[in-house]
Amino acid sequence: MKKTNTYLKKTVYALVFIVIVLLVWQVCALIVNDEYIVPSLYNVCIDMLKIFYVEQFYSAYFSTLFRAFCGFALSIVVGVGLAFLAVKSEVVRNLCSPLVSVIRLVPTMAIVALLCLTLSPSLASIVVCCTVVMPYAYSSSLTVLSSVSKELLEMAKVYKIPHRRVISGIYLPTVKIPFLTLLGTTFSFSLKITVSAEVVAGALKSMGGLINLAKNVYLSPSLVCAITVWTVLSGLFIELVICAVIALIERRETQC
Amino acid sequence: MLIDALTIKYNDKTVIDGLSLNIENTEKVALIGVSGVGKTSLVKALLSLVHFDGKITNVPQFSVVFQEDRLVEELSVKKNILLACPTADVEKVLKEVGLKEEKDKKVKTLSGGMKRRVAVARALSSECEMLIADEPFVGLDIATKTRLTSVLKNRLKDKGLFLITHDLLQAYELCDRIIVIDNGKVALDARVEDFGLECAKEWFLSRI
Repeated sequence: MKKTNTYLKKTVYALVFIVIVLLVWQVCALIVNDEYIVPSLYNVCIDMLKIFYVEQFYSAYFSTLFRAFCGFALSIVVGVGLAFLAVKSEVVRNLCSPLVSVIRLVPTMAIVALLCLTLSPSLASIVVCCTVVMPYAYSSSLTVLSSVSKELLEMAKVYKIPHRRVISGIYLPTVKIPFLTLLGTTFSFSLKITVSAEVVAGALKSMGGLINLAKNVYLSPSLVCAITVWTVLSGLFIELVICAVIALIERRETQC
Repeated sequence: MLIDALTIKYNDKTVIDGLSLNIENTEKVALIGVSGVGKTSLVKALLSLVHFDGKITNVPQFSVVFQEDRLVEELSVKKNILLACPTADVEKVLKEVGLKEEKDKKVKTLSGGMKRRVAVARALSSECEMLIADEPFVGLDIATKTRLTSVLKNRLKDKGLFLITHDLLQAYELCDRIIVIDNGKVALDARVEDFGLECAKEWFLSRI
């Protein structure tokens, strides 16, 4: 009962926040009164619905999702793999620390511009996504893996528990939920980076490409906003799905 | 088990200083000393969890009840025992410590006393020659202490015990030999039948 009330509270707060944002947007649109500077809420909503009748939208949308997923998967594999090695070896940790900092500091668009010289715009978007998201995946994974109790690992050493059972019996139960949460937030971040990279790289069949078209060809800021809102909602949807999966796992474990 | 000139240092601070002991693998020994004197460090050296100078030879197969419970909170009681000892007779050992009904409950839902009983059950499930128990009964109520003391007495009839404790009464109840550590060295090493409880109390009082 207490948990349901907490969820309801959080949902109400989220809805109130969305209403406030929409109200502020509409008020700004009314004050500015220029569709090219601040498109009205009404026109953006119309464009959000109209876009479903555009054939290219579906191929662009799913191509972007696919690129975002590829970049996300790569960054998770590299980030989590490096974090696991860093937890085991101080040498690896000390080597990764400056590397990750440098990658984090390099401007994203500079990476896009450099990669476009050698790679196709489509591939460049994936590599940019991986490059930008990997440091975040690494740092978060390192924090989660480091939170596994050293005392438990000592216990495992004393009882000579094989490595495979240490992972399944000690690491997994501890890191399962934090990792699932990390996956949710990392994917939505990957989606955002992928779309940004597609805009700069000019990737065809992409949400970024559609944004470019809407801005440069159709000169329609409301359409740009509509595509952006659909991107945001997609990322939010994935996060909500992950949250639901986590809640299901927690409920199942409570019942057990 | 032979401990020869054992020295343990942490950041230039000597905790155990050239300690030597000869302990039979079936002997029941109580290690007593004030907090910070190096008792847990000695245990860590026996378990090769800390760097030390000196030699430890003829080391028996250990099982351990740690000072902290060291249980995986997200796993059930049964899974915690099976994690350390896959061939354990979980039902039997949980019945002995009075936790048969809690077999499938997650450890995080248990009280402190129950968690300690799970830790003892896990240690007893392991095939070992000597049990190391580092202050196993701290914070427990009298009923639980009495129960666990009885379990240990029954289970360790032909096995060794290395008990770290502040409790003289407990040391005399469970062990044949008491060793007192002070300033990193052995200050007293006596058999229980030669150095009775009253003598021990007087000895400690004289040291204050």
